[in-house]
Amino acid sequence: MLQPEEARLYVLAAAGGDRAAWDRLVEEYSGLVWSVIRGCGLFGAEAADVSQTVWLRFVEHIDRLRQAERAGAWLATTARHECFRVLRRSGRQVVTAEVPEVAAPDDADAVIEALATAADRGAILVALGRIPPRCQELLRLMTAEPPLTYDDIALSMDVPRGWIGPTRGRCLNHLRRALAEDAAADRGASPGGSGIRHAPGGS
Amino acid sequence: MNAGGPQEADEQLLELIREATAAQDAVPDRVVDAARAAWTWRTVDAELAALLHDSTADEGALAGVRGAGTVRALSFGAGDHMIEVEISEDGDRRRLVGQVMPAPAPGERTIVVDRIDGGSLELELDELGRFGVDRLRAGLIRLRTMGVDGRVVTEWVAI
Repeated sequence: MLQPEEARLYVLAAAGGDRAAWDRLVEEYSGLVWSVIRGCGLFGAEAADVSQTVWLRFVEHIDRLRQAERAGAWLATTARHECFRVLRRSGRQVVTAEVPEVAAPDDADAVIEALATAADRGAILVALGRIPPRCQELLRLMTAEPPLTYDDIALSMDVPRGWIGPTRGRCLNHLRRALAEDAAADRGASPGGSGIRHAPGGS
Repeated sequence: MNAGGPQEADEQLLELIREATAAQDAVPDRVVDAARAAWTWRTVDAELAALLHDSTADEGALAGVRGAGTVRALSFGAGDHMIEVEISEDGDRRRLVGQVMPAPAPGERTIVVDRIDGGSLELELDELGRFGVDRLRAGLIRLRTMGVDGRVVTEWVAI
């Protein structure tokens, strides 16, 4: 993972024409950009197009970034912006409603314990796709590699820093509820089954 | 109950998400390749004309009616230099009609359409800076032209 000072130096080198520095930045941040795009609900060719647009924007702006050491935050913010542009252009709604509070079901801990020891984590992705859109965004950002700071997340989601902590708690409870529901549905559908659903095949 | 308390339980669940996305929703290789290749479109010594307005994205609520027959209007700007473009759709083909402002000097009356998937198209500007092209394939494009103070290139935009 690049430290802020290293990120700054790679950005300056790339801006000065150093191709290897650019490749290093791509290696570092392409997963982060992808997490943001997946978090806002795009996948497949649409997600790939948005990623490409974000990296083209980065080339265009690399010599005029105000805070070169926060390249990751810039990329995350731009990815979210481009994602919403695509959603709006195709008439899909961009949800910015507050996340409602839900209680975690009693059996969620047991379901999660079972998942933690399972080889296949697909059930997590399935459940993640069912929780409120803002939660999908936030949890993707919170688990992106390399990690974003709370300040970076607040900047890219356009929320106050203090919004993150409480919302994170609510979102994890939404996920617990979705996981418990999926596990219960699987028990009903296939008695004796693994209790774990499979994620739709991604690439 | 999770033995470690709620804080630990939250951290554990976040770690599970991290593992799941890393293992099963990692960035595809071709997406990383495209990111690397973006470098080849680096321009030096050109002023960047930002996308200032996109009628379909900025007037979000109306975007649902987008389709055959609707015209999308884009404006790019760099200082006093503006490029306005109207795009109409016909399947996967696009018709572009636009204008460069202020009108270019004689001898500088060209505008280039760069396509991300390769190939550039040079168009003539008339004395008012107007241009047009028909049956352009949908995809990411940008425009390059001469402004009053040198070369101007627009941001990339999906059409």
